[in-house]
Amino acid sequence: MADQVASMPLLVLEGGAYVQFEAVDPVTGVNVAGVAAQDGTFTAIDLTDTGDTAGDVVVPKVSPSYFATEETV
Amino acid sequence: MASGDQLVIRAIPVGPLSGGYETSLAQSIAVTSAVATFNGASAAGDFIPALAFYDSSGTLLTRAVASTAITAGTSAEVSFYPFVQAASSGGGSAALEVTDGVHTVTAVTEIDFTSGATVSSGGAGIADVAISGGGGYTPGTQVGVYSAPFQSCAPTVAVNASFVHSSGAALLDLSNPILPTILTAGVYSVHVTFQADSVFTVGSGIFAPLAMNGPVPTNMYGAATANLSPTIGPLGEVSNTNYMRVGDALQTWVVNNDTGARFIEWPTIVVVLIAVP
Repeated sequence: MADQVASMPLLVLEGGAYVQFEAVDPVTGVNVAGVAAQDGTFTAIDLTDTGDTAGDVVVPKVSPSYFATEETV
Repeated sequence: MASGDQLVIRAIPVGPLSGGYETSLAQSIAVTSAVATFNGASAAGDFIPALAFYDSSGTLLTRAVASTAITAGTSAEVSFYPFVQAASSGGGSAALEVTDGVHTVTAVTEIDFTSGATVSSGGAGIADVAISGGGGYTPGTQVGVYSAPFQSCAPTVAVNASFVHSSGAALLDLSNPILPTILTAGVYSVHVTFQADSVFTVGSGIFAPLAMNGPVPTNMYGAATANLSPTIGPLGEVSNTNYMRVGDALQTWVVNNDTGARFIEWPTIVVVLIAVP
């Protein structure tokens, strides 16, 4: 396995925006089928969470079957 | 959790690259890093790991891509950070590349230039150029060398003459190419290599004088040690230094002492004007 480091933009994502791993063809730029992203982890700065209200996001988890949802407290 | 605290979002488990994170409607986050292992065991082809950002309507905002493609069938762990760049695999500066407009050489240690190519430093430095001949060829440098006939060569050979001194004036009158005469008085040093145009038998004497305004010197090449033919050369060489007046002639020849014949071919003559009175 070869490790790589890549640059990413520092964007603010708001209501409903999302980020995901992809695999693109080196020539055409279209997605390549059959590639799986394993153990994906994001770190982010929460700009809105005050942490003192029930329902705040703590550690969202994402999976194919659990995509675009968050764990809540 | 206070505003601005760090979130760790685990996109698990594995998915066909649907692993990601979507913000809630009331949420704003700034993603500061992402990492995942891209498993290409079942990849349809080589691929470049990417991290894509979309707005709530699914419109692609930007896609950050890694610098190196992953070969289908293999995997790679890729970390995404803002404002970083993958290190160069070379670990150093790019290799020097040199071109003369025809040949381009990378990782240059030496280069063969085409005839007439000019080498310049391109700046305050000095071009460090070593000229060498190889494979039977010699550098195309000719300084005061005259391949002229004295006895039997074709007069047209004289077009290669380059007898001028520092003032630009010609040194020799080559209108009679078998008997060049001096145009500028001075002390001259003359060196001649030559080849005889007849066969010399073993033990025959070879007399090769060089006449320069005065008694014929006794420069001798000596006796032949083998049967010499015109295809062997140069056969010998003679040198002399003398004061030459305007109109004095240079003359040299090879004498086969056995036959008395005088024949010389393909002489190469170097004439150096040492001093002008």
